[in-house]
Formats: sequence, C-alpha cells, structure tokens
Amino acid sequence: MTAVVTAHGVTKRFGDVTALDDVSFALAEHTIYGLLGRNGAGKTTLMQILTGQAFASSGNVSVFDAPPVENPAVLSKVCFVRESQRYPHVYTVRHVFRTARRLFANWDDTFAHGLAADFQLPAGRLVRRLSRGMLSALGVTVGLAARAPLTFFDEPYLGLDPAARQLFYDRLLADYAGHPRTVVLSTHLIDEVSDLVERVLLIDRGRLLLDEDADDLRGRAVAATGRAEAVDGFAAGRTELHRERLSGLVRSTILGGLGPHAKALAQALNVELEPLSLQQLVVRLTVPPTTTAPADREAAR
Amino acid sequence: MNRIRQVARLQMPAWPQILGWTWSMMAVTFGINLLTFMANYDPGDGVTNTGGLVSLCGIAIGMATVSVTQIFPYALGMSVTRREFYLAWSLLAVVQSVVYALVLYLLRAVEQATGYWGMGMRFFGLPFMDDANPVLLLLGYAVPMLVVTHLGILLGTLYLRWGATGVLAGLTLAFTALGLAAALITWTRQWHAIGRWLLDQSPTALLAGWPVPVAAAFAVGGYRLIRRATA
Repeated sequence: MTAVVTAHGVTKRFGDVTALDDVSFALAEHTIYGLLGRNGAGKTTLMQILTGQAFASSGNVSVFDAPPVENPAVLSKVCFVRESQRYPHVYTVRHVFRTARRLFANWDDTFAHGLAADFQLPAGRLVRRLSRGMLSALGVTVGLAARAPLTFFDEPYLGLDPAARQLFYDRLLADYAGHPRTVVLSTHLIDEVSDLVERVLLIDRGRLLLDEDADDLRGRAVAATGRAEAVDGFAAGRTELHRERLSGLVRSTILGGLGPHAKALAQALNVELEPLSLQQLVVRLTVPPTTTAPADREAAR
Repeated sequence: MNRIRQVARLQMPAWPQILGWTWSMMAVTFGINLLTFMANYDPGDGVTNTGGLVSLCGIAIGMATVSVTQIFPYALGMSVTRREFYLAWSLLAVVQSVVYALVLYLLRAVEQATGYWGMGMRFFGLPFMDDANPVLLLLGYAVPMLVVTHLGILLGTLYLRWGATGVLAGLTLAFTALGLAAALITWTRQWHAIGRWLLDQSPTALLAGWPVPVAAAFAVGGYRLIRRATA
C-alpha cells in the first residue's frame, strides 16, 4: 500500500489531560476511512495534528512523506472540513467559494455550484446567518469540491437531515469513483457510513483501539441469545464484551469470528447467534461496562 | 509570491467595511475638529496642529487586529500556512500604507489650497515637513502607517496565541517597560540629551527613518507569535 499518512507515537497533552496517547497508524492512498470514537476521544485533535493546525506534544507525523506543519507542498494536497470551522464575519457563501477556488488547486467550480444547488445553499447569504444544517452543507460542499488528495470531514453530518446526509454520502461515493482520494470521515452515525468506509480507526480516550478493515470488523463479534446455562456454555473460553438479561433469556456479546464449529455448537445449545453491526461493536468496545447497569442501558434504548 | 497574493485576497470581502469605517470615522473626527475651530477662530492665530493623523493611526491598529483575528482561523482551515498568512497580511499592510499615504497627500494639498480649511486648522499636514519633496512627504505618511498596521497585526497575533489575556498582558508589559524607561531617564537626568538628539534629527528621519526598525521589530514579533498559533 502507498501510505499517504504515517503517524508514530503521536501524543498530545493539554496541561495534565492527555488527549492523544501514543497513537500510531498509517493511511493508505485511495481509501475511505471512518474515524470513530466518542466525544472527547481525540478525533478532532488527531485531525488537527495531521493537517498541521495543531502541534503534537511528541511523536512523528508524515503526510505525503513530509511533516505537515507549515509545509505548503503538503497542505496544498490537504483539505480539512471542521465542524467548528470559523468564518470571517463579513463572508457570504459566495465569498467562501471564491476563496476556496483560489486556494485549492483541484477545486471544481461546477461541482461546487451543483452541490450548492442540491443543498439549497443561498449564495448571497452571510455565513454567520446560515442555519446549522446549511453550515454543515457549506463545509461538505467545500470538502468535496476541493478534491484534495487527502480530505478530512470532521462530523460533517451535524445539523444535516437524513435526506441531506444521504445526498452527501451519494455525492461522496460518486465523486470518489471518478476522482479517487483518501477520505477520513469522523462520525458518530456509524451504521450510516458502514457501507461507505473501507477501513475503521477507533479511538477511545486518546488511544487507538482498532485499525482494521470494515468488512473484517463486521464479523468480529456476535450477539448470542439463549437460556443462561446455554449461553454460559457457548461463551466459555471466549471473550465476552457485554451481557444483558431479557425476561429469562441472556444476551451476550462475544468477540471473535464465527467458525463452523461455533455455529454447530450454538445450534446444539439452542443459542441464537446474530452478527453485531459496526455501531454496536463500537459501542460495546468504548462504553466502560460499569458505567450503567445493563438493564438501564436496555431501558434507555 | 502568487500564493501570497491569493492569500491576501482573503481580505477582499472585508475591504468595503475597513475603508468605510476608517474614513467615515476620520470624517467625523475632521468635522468635530472643524466645528471646534469655527467656534474659536481668530484670523490672527496662524496655523494650529490637530491630532487628526493620530486618530487614523488608532483606527488602523484596530482594523488590523480585527482583520487578523477574524480571518486567520479561516485561512488555517483552508490549508494556508501561518507563514503564508503573515506574509500576506504584511503585504496588505504595505499596500494599505501606500494607498493611505497617497490619500493623505492629496488631502494635504486640499488643506493647503484652502488656507488650512479657511481657519488655520492643520489636520492632514505633517508638522515640520512643509518644504519636503513629494517622495519624502509620502514616506512620512506611509512609514508611520506601516508601523501602526504592524502593531495592529502584532496585537492580533497575541490574541491568536493567548486570547484577550495575551493582548492585555502584552500591553501591560509594554506600558511597564516604557514607564520604567521614562523613570530611568528622569532618574539619570537624560531628558535634555534626548530632547537634543530629537532636535538633531531631520523630520524625515523621525517620520520615515527611525520608524522603519520599529515596524521591522513588530513584524518579527508578530511572525514569531503566529508560527505557533492555532485556530
């Protein structure tokens, strides 16, 4: 694989808070990544460091084979759409497009205006007067039309309604097919993007928990439901992530692939198996088991 | 250089506001000064200076600070480097200083042609430079403008690095240093020597010569601060 980004032992401290703790990974060319993790896990900080907007406390970052900080050659190939991007007070939507056209080498004006029409962005309106959804749509439009070889979307969906989100996913996939690039999507709506992302990076409390192909992850865990003794028998010797009780039955989330042997065992024990979705897997991996009782969590759902 | 120019154009949407506010505030200051002069006019008074240009300097500082703090976070988000941003804003400072110098030069000509607005009010003219040649006169306007604009940018970069606390601490530090320097001069009875030194300098050196290293110092300071700034 051709690595577009490599990070080695990236650590970021804010005072005595460690936002990123010894994070190492590589991003391949022409791949869509899902950068997943809870709020405050360090996703935005990581993307800021990769785009030279923030400085790592220690560790090394290389983007297109060079450090990104203050490197125009690298940054000219990078676009970072931040959910909390600040725009100058006097800027209208049109000003944003004009400046983006001058600053991004691959900017496609026709594409940008097509997207703006799709999202019904009013060109003459001041950016500070846009609704939350329109602000997200503006960011998404800039990120797509910039066609930067390395594009980061930081929670682009905030404020977008389901139809607009679908529009974004569709346009991203269509444009990606014609103009392959490396895309990093940070998001909480994991199931929505699970068909879109090819690889998953999961960060929890500043540490990299997972760096795997999305397809591998989908078969990574199962939910086993059955009578308590049967589930105990099935779970014996396997890693159990979570267990909850539902009216006499037990539902256990178990890590590990499902070989034919496991399937046969489940059948024999009368335990029902269902694959865990990416989102459920991420929740199970990042929620500390002691924070809420299983029953509470069930009620909350 | 082309890239720096493109980055500088990030300020274009703000120009109507910057120019509009700057020169309407100047117009108000001018009007108030004129009214005051009208109230007290005595044809035997000769020509009196006003602080008209000082108010322009104050406005320029504020405008530069606001411009830096407003546009830097956006520029960073558009994959612009801090270096490119600083050089672009420094270029804007040069352009603005030259344009303002030309405007002031013209207004000074009007001022002199109208007999100092008919009532001996020197608002746009530079003191001591009545007989300077046009080039020196333009420099006398442009270089101090360059100094104050870079001071405004410096204050903006202080804000980017450490927020309002940074600006206030910076100003406190500057006033403390200047105050201590003044006390030291008084203590060592050096005011007379300094006064003599100032009198020995030509007006050109005072307006267009010595301010150059000051502008350079502000520029170096702002550049160093912004290189570690985050949005």
